[in-house]
Formats: sequence, structure tokens, C-alpha cells
Amino acid sequence: MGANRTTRIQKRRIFPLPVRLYLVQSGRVARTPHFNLTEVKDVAASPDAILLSKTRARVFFATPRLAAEAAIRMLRELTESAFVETKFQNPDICDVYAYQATPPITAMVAGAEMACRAWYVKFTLLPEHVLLVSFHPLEQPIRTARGKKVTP
Amino acid sequence: MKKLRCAQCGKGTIRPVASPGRREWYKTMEVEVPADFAIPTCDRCGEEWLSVRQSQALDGVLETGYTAELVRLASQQLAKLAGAAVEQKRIEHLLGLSQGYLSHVKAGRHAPSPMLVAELVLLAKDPERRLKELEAFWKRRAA
Repeated sequence: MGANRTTRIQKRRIFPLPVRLYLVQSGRVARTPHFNLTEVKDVAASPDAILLSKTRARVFFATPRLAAEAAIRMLRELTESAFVETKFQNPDICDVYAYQATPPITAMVAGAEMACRAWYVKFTLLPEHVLLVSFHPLEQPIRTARGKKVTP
Repeated sequence: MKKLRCAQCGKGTIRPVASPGRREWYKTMEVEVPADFAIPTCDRCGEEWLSVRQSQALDGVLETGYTAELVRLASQQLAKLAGAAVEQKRIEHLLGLSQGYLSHVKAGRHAPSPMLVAELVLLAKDPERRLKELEAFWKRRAA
């Protein structure tokens, strides 16, 4: 019952900030990622471990190599403070982060190169792989679990 | 690579697929992926998953295809311009290229830049008018 309630709350991010902060403080939404970030980084250290999806990651870069390099950098620099939420993407569990790249990473948006600072990251962890389901410039403002607003 | 479940659709299995007709965006255009290059692909939704090592390998084969395509496009545009009785050295002069450069491009000895291909495409659309515009532009700068 409790778990179902949490799931429902996590899926519907419709609450205004004070309510969401209350939900976070009362433990109804996860404040910490589902996957331990250190573990994710350990798995991602192998060159064959990170798998990038084409439609939600690779297409946002001029070449596959640039996409891979950006993914390595992002996973190296990612911190728990950028964690947004855990999503239940049937049947997988994915952690979502709002990654802020300094210096910005060049992305291909609508056929043009753009230096993008804010990135949407969604991944799931398997025993030997990090499946990067989404890695693209942030499309709309997003708030981290700690309450920081990140804008595109 | 072990068989993995696709995280995009949650149902399919990711298996290496090598087939003709796949295209990948590379720098300025879509380039055909060689038929024998295996890409881990979901057997249900078709999502392609590449590791870092595979991305680097794909980059290598796409660069070859990209360069070949640039040479082909440049030669095609130069043939159009030649068909319109435009002298190659006149184009080279107006585009600030060294004399004979376009012959090297046509012969495949030099890989043209995408910018040069784009310029040739624009010139070949309406050669006389575009070349006159360019000549007038450079003359104005000189005056």
C-alpha cells in the first residue's frame, strides 16, 4: 500500500514545491537515487559497459564518438545532488538526473550545433551495464530531489 | 555481449544485427552504415544500443562513408557546373582555392570540406547568376 502510494506520487509530479518538499521530508518520495552512484560509476568504468540508446541519446550528437565521450564525462561528473527522481519504466527502474555540464557540451538540436549546459539523464543499472536510456539537452525546467530548479 | 532486455520498450531482447539499409547521422548528413557492421538492436522496438568501443568503431566506418559521399557530391556538382560551361579555374578563383584544387577533389585525391560541397551546390543551382554575384561581391570589397 505504502509502496503503491510512493509510486503514484513519483509518477505524477504535479505538486507545488511546498507540497513536494513536505512529501520529500516525510519520505513519500525518494530523496536518494535507487542505484548507488558509486556503483554506477564503477560499472561504467569499462568501455563496453555504457550502452547508449540511439533515439534518446545518440541522435543529439554530431557523431557516435562524441556521444560516447560526452556520456563518459557525464557519468564521471554526475553527483547525487543532481538526482531528480526514480522512474518505474516497466519493468525497469531508472534514475533520472539533471546534469549541469561546465563547460557546456555541444549538442545537435534541430540540425544545428548548440552548447548545452543542462542535460536530462535517465539510466538503469544492470550487473555489467549502464543502459543510458536518455541523455539529451533538457527540454523543460526540472527540479532536483533537493529542490534546486534546473532550467534548459 | 550477453543478451540484454531493451530498457526502451522493456520487452525486446538486444542482439547484434548486421543488415543493409541502416543510416546514421554523421556530422552534416545521414550516412549508410556498412551492411556487415553489427549494431546491438532490440528485436521488438528496433532501438539501437552502442557501447563506447562500438561508438568509436562506428565513427571510423562512418567517416570513410562520409568522405566518400562528400567526394561524390562535389564531383556531381562540378559536373553540373562543367555542363553549364563554367571554367573550373574561375570557380577556384572566386572561392579562394588554389589552382587545380578542384581537379584533385574530382579525382578523389583531396576530401572536400562540407562547406566547399555546400558552396558548389549553391553555385550549381544557377551558375551564371551566382558567379556574377560572387564576382560583384569581391569587386566591391576591392573598391
